Amino acid sequence: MKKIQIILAILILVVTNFACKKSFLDATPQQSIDQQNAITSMQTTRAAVTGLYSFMQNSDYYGRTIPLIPDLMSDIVVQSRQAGTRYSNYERRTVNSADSYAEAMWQIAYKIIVNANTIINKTPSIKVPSADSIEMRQLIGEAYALRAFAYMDLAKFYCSPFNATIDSSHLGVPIVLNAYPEGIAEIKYPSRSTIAQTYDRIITDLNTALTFLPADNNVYFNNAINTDFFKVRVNRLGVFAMLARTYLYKENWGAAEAAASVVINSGRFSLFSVTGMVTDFKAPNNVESIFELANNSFDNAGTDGLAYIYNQGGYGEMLGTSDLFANYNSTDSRRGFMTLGNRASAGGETNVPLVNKYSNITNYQENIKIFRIAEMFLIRSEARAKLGLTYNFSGAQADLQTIVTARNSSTLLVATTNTTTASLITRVLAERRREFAFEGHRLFDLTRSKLGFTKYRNNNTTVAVSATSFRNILPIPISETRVNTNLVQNPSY
Amino acid sequence: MQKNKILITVFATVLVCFQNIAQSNVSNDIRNNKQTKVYSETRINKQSLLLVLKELNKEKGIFFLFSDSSFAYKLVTMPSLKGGIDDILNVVLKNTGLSYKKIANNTIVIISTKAKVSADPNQLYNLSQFASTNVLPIIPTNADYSSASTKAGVELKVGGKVTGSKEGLPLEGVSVKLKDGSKGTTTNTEGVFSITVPLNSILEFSRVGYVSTSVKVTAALLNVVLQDADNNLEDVVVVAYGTQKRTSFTGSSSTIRNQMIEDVPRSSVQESLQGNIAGVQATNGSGQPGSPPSIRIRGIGSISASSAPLYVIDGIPVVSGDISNGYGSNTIAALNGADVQSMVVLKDASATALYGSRGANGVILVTTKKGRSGKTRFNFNIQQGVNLYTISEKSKMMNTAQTIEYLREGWKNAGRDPNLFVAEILNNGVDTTKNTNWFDEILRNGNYTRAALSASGGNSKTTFYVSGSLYKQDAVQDGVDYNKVTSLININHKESEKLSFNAGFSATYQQSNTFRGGTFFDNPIRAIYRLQPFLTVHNADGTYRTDFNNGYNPVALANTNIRQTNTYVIRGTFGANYNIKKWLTYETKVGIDFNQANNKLYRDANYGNANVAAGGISGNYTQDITNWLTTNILRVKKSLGNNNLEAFVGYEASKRKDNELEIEMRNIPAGLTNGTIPTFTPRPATTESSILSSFFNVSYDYNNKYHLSGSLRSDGSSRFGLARRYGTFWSLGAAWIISKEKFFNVAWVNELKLRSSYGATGNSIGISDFGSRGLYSTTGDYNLNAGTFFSQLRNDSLTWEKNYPFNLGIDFTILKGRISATVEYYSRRTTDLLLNVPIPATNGISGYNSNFGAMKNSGIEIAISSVNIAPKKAKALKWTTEITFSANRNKILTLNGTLPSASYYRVEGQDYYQWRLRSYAGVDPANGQALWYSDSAKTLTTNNFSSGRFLTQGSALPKFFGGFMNSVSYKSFTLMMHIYYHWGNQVLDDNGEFISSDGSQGFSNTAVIPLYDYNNRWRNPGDITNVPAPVYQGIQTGLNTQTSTRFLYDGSYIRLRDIQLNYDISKKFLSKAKLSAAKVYIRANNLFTWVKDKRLIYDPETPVDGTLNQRPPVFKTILIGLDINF
Repeated sequence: MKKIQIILAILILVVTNFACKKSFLDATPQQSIDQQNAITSMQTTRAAVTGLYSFMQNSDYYGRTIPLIPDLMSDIVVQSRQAGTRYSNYERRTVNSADSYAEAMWQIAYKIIVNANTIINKTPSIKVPSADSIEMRQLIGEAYALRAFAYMDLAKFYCSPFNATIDSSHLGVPIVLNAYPEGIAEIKYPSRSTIAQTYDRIITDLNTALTFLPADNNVYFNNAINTDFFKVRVNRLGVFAMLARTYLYKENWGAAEAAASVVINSGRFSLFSVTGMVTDFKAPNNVESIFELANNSFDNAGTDGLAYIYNQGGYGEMLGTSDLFANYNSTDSRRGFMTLGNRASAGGETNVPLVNKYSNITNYQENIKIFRIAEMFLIRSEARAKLGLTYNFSGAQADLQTIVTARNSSTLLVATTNTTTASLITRVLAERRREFAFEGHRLFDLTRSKLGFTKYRNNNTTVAVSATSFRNILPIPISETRVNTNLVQNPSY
Repeated sequence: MQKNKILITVFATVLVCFQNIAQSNVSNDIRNNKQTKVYSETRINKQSLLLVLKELNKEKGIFFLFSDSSFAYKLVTMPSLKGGIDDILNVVLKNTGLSYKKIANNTIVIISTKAKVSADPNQLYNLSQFASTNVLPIIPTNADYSSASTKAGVELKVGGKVTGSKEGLPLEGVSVKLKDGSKGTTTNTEGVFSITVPLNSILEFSRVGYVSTSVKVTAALLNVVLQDADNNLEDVVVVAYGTQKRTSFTGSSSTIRNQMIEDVPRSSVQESLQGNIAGVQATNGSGQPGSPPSIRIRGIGSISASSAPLYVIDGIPVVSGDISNGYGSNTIAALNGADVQSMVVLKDASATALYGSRGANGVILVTTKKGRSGKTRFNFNIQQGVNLYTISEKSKMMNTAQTIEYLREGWKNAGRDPNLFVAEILNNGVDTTKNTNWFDEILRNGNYTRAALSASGGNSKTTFYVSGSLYKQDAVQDGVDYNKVTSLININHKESEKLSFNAGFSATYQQSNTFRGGTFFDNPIRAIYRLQPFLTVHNADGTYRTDFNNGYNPVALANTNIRQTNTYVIRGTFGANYNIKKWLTYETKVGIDFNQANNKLYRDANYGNANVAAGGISGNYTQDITNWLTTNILRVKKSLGNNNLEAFVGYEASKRKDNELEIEMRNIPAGLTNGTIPTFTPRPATTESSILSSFFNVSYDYNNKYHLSGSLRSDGSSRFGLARRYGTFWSLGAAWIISKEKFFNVAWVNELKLRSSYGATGNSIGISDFGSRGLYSTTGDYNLNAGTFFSQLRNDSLTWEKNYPFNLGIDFTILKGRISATVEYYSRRTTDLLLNVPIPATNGISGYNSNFGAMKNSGIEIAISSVNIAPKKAKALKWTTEITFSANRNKILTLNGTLPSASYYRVEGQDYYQWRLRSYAGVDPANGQALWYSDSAKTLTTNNFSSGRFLTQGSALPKFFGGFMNSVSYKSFTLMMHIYYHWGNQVLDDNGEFISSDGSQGFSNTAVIPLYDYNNRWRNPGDITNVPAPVYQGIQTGLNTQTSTRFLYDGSYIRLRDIQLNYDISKKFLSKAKLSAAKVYIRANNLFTWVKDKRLIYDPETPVDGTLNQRPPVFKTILIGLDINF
């Protein structure tokens, strides 16, 4: 009996000792990092910046929604009658404030902004060896640049164009510059700035980014120039490209011209050949690309991506409009991004433009193009034209001609057929429609130019849309206005 | 020789009993070899008639029969065995009230002198029947029976055998006590006891799991049959960390009878809760066998954390819920119903407070069967049946002709040129010659089989129970099935009076093939309600068509793809008990609960999004959860006069670790089911949590009349914020047995007990492991570089949800135990609800975890058990009824504003599942347009959906529900019927707005319309209906955003949930086949359902949230079963 008692006593001791240490209740998360350890070194800062790109890549952001809906809402894309419910409210122009795509895009934009803010606010306190500092500065510069991108995306989708009011005093988006809230007490309820303030923030951030990013325009990794990352991270020329687009939308023609010129003159980019256009466009890190988002076979939007919604082997429910197809000359290299064919689904449309600009549904290894050099020529052409016949009109014509020639889109020479500002602008916009089809520019080109347009529906009907239709901008998500009463909803939503 | 053996046995028993008078334990060795001489020493005047007749049989070769078994034990004088048989019998039977009758040359029946008719020849007992038991009469030593009965204080040595009512097997360890408690003993392994007590005193027999009984001592032999504790009459209840006498229990708990579990064909024991336990809402709403039902005990206790109860199996809190990524695995279904001894639902503070931070939503205690010593007993049970669908014909959709007719009408209503309609049909590629009934293509009749074998036995030291079972259920949907293999071993070993050990081990494997419900393309049920009849399953060449529904051909998916979930559950426990002193016991327990789910997916390249280009996709998803616990308890049990005290203090530590791994591969080589190229980087995930607890419980009673109890538990949990790491939970309870009071003198009330409890419990189930931390997620990788982002706001104050349950209950038994009932009122307030507080997304996240808000559940529970017709004798007509009734009201007490929800209205004062939808106002008789109410008084209507007013529409929670169980037995037949009723709730068809599209989708492949809409559509001005006119590609109605009360239904229904006709095979036949008991039965589940709302085209059973979300259809099972004991 004594023996048993001893055994039991030992058992009790062992069992209790095993479990009663204070540390028993101290579990450490394995999937996440405690926030105070998140940005403490160059490695952790690099991971935080990488996280920003991951948001950009999301299918609710550049992964699908941002390149798709401006085209679907205007005259580039039509949803097949044999389709699911994805984006069907955009096809019908019946989006309301509960729309999940509008909500997700808004949320991701602010995730980018707040995470960028945190990097910007925390990194000055990080002491890195001087050898690291070039990459460290680059990381901060990327944070500024991506924050500017996010504000620009918000301004494009949720606000009327910059020129909608004379003094641009209409609604912009909330400008948030603080890091993530450390605790409940720090939760903020910002109100909307004006569109002028929003653009000021974008331009300030882009200019700040320029001061941080390596002056040699390269992208560094482990303090060495890394060519693999050159186009899939924001390089300094990508910031200039963004400045050019921002000034274009802001109608600051001189600045737009200057920024576009920096990119063009860098000599780092060139236009595709006419014959190679369709295949070269799909290639990662191609010659035209200034900034693109990497999709590799492990990390992509998959069936939620652009290729899947266009490819008839996938959902295939987004089609080009016949009007767009008819808009290309048969010689135009860009017409190759569509083929006439039948919708793969039973009862689907026949002999309609099927889109293949993004088409890889095997491993989805197609990068999402955000800036291409062609845009710089078209921006500079439009800016120069807007600056008037006396400024550098021939330069405007030449820039447009560069694109027309490269794409073999017309035998008509710009210099002879587009001799007035209005005519040149019209042709630039037409060329932009052809150039950026399925890349998500069209709606904004129309609205900033105050042009009404036709929405082609899948039941062979058309809807005339005015440039100022309230449905040309998205509602602030109801989930946001409900918790932040400081926010003013967009008119009519 | 045989007869000698019997006599020897008799006297051996007598001897042993004598020897054991001083001891309280009876030795089981009745065959030792030194008793022949005892025969003469103990031979005295009075003897049982049985023995006398046995002697006569030996002497004269005459066979005796009894018309009543009790006659055998009449005490008579041992006569001289010389002389004629008539003379002898006349002497023997004098003054006994017995007489005899010769029925054959050498056969005599002993009958009562009062018997006017001769005895029923089928009801005669012969001597050998009595000889088959080891126990025979014990002879009074010091008194003449007849005179002793008139004298007080005469001691009589009584003995006998105690058996269980159900299996008829001897019961070991039955406590046999004089009512005043002055003397007691227990039965040995053969169920035999012996005790010397005064004549006419009352002996009480009790044992865990059986109904206690009291017997007046009037004869030397007392064979007692204890009823299996299968209703609320039972004396001992399983409670947290042990058992307790029911009379002293101050809490609220209900025990589900094991008959309601063991033969039930349902895949999980949880499903047996429906309608059997008051206060428990158990719903499945899915025909996916093996999927976890939703169980709510006394209402909805939480919003974002879990409202599910804690499951404790043999003392180990186990992992419950779906652990397979939404494919519906159920770790609790790993239990084989036939292995379950009892399932107890703990409901109030007194019952659950000892489970501290996990007890708030109730606790379900499952106890598995343990071994019983003696000859090894086997039970074999087999069931074989079919599954048939319950969905009514009404749910069928339009056929091709109807679709064309309907859309042609819609074309006209849209104002289009009727001459162009044919062109439209052709343009849309509609093949009007095809007419596919997708209902028939996707559903089938399934099969069901279960076989279970168990063995139980052991000796006085070691007992065991082992079992194994196979279970196979093919659902009524093609490609949906469930298989299960279980094994269990329970071993108890008593090393000494002081030390005992127990160990249990079970290993189970479940395999299911499933489809996800809801709006997934790969859900074939969705296909039934979406695919047009003019589509076909196959192409002309026999291959599957893939040119609709995004390539998700539902028949191809069922036949080609693999959607398999394998769930492995291994549970092991080890425990030891040591009696340090008679009043002090130490218990230790270690338990491990290992659960693993492995999803194997194979998506053929040709179908769905496993596109040809990708070469097919295979997926493996594995999650394992290891949960271990150690408990140490010190128990005190003391009585001082009328004061009885029981208390224990315990210390417990537990830890849970989760591991997950998901891999998806594409490019599957022909003939294989695994891909070769990963589609994303595999991401392993691990997480863990730990709980450290100490607890104390005390129960005190005075004279078994006034009971008080209290408990206290402290839980520390790694899940909680640093500022709130430890929580204290407690309860206080009291009970008063009014019927034991002297002043209480109501003859027809046998027992009346009043009890009440209050306390504080907590809920941490469903709070994520690191929910209080400020976190950066590591899932933000890009371009093969690791990426991080802010993902969770820090909240140091995050803590458990607090629950304050109050309970008031009354238990009574009336009419000599014919009716017993429990009526309870409860009210529980839950505060500090875990909520994701939405914040502006401009903070980088759109919500954080916090505790705020309060909710209240209150209600009435009634459970009545009645013996309507009590059998006068064995095998006579018996009719029993059990009724449960539950009514719960849920109310949100405080909330910071409105909880966002698309369809529910969650504000203070409303119930949590209050629907809030636009009100459908039917159809404008003038033009067939849909109308919605545009004001709250429902006086104004609008034809513009967006202008329709959101109004509250009633709750998804039932007003009341319960069960109605009847059992009628007569001779060898038993008919059992269980009806479940569920009343007063509203259910929403989540997909109604997609399905009733009123022609707005034209000839879209996924726009078939219900026949109901076809039959009831508006056609001509003046038509009064609730189905709008079809309008081809119209936008006034039928859009997929138009959720409204048009798709809200009354969810009231009554279901014949279970019906069984049972036949007990006769003993005669069994003894020839060397079986101890056997029965055959036919049984049917869900045989008939009555639905109140005639518009409802689906089975009305939904999960608690009241949504009909295209789940696999509920089915009925009809089976035959055979149950053999040997």
